[in-house]
Amino acid sequence: MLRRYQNESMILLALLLLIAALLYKNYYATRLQRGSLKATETIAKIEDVATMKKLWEKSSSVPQKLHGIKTYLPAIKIKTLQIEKKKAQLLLEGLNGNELNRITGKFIASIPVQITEMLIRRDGPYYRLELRCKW
Amino acid sequence: MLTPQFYIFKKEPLPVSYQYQAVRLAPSILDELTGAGSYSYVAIKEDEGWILIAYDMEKIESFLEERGLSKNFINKIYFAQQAKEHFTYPISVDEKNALVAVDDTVVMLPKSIVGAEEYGSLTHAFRPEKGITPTQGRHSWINQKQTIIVSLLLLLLAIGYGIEGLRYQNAIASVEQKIDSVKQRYPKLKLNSTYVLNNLYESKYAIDSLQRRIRERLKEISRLTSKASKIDTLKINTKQYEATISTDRQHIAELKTYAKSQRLRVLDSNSSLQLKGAL
Repeated sequence: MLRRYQNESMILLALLLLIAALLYKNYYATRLQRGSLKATETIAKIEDVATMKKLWEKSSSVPQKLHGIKTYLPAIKIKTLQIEKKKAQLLLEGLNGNELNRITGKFIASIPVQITEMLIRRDGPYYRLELRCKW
Repeated sequence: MLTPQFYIFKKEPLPVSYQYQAVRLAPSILDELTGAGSYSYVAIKEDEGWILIAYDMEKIESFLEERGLSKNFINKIYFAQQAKEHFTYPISVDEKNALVAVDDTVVMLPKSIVGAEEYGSLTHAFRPEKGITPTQGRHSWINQKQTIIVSLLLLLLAIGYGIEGLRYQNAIASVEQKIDSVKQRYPKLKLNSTYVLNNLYESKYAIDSLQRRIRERLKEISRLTSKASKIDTLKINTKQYEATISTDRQHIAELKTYAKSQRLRVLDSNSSLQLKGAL
C-alpha cells in the first residue's frame, strides 16, 4: 500500500517533518517570549530588592546621621535623642516654623529610617516634635 | 531477473570514468539496436569498458502484470547479463528454454539446443549489487518529479523552522544565564529560588512604599502651612495620618481645595482644617 502511494507517502512524510519543525519552533518561541518577560521582571525585582535593601537596611550610618540633628538645631532644643539597637526616639521642643520645616523636610529625607510614628504639636509660636523610627 | 528478450545490450570501451557519463552516451550507441519504444538506459562498469543496457520499462511492467506480478510488490529488477559470471551451468527458465552464458553473454536458448542433462535454478547468489526500480506511483496523483520538488520545498521549510527553533532554544539558555549573572552580582541576597526572591521583594516593597507614602503625606501637609496657616497638631504612623491646621476664614476654602488636590482627606473645615486618612 505504502509502495503503491510512494509519492504521496514521501510528501506526507515531508509534511509531517514540517509540522514537527513548526511545533518545535513555536514551542521554543513561546517559551522564549514568556522567558524574556519573566527574566525582565525577575532582573527588575532583583535590582529593586538590592536597592531597597541598601536604602532601608544600611544600618551602620544611621546613628551617625541621627546625631547630625545637632547641626540643624541648638542642643537646648534636643530634649531626647535615644538610639537603642536599631531603633531611635527623638524629642525636640521649642522649634520655630523654619526649624520645623527643615527637620520634617531636609533632615528626615536624608536619613534612611523607617518612621513608625511622628507627632507634632504647636504651643503658641513654638512646636514640639516627637519621632520614633527604626532601620 | 530479466531474460535477454527484455533488454538490448552492447559492450563498449567508452573513454569515460563515471556511470552517468556512460548512461548519457548509451542512447546514441544503442540507437541502431533499439526499435520503437520508450527506452531507459543502464551502464555497468567492467574491466575492459562498459556494458550499456537499454530496456523498455513499460513493456517489462506490462509483462509482469500479465503474469499477475504487480510492480508495487517488486523492489528491484535485474538483468541476467549482470550476473553472467554465475551462469556456469544452464538455468532453466521454463519447460522449453534455458539461460546460458556464451562468450560472456547470457542468452536464452531452447533446451533442445542446450542439451544439458541437468538444469540449475536462480539462487540469491545470482543477485547483482544494483538493479533497476519499477516506475513508482502509477497510481499516484502526482509524478516523481513533482514529488521531489514538493518534498524538497517542505524539507527546506522544515529545516528553516528547525534552525529558528534551535536559535530560540539557545536564546532561552542565554536569558537564564543573564538572570544568573544578575543574581551573582548580589551574592548577599542569597536568591536561591524565585520563592525567596518574591518573598524578599514583597517585604522590601511593603516597607519602601509605606515609607514613601509617609514622607509624601508629610510633604503635602507641610505645603499647606504658610504665614497665615499653621499646624496645630500632626500625627502620622504606619497606618494613618491626622492633622489640624489653623488658618483665618479668608484662606480656609483655598486650603481645603489645595488639600483635596493633593488627595488629602478633609474631615472638617469650619474653624480649622482637619485632615485624617489612611496611608
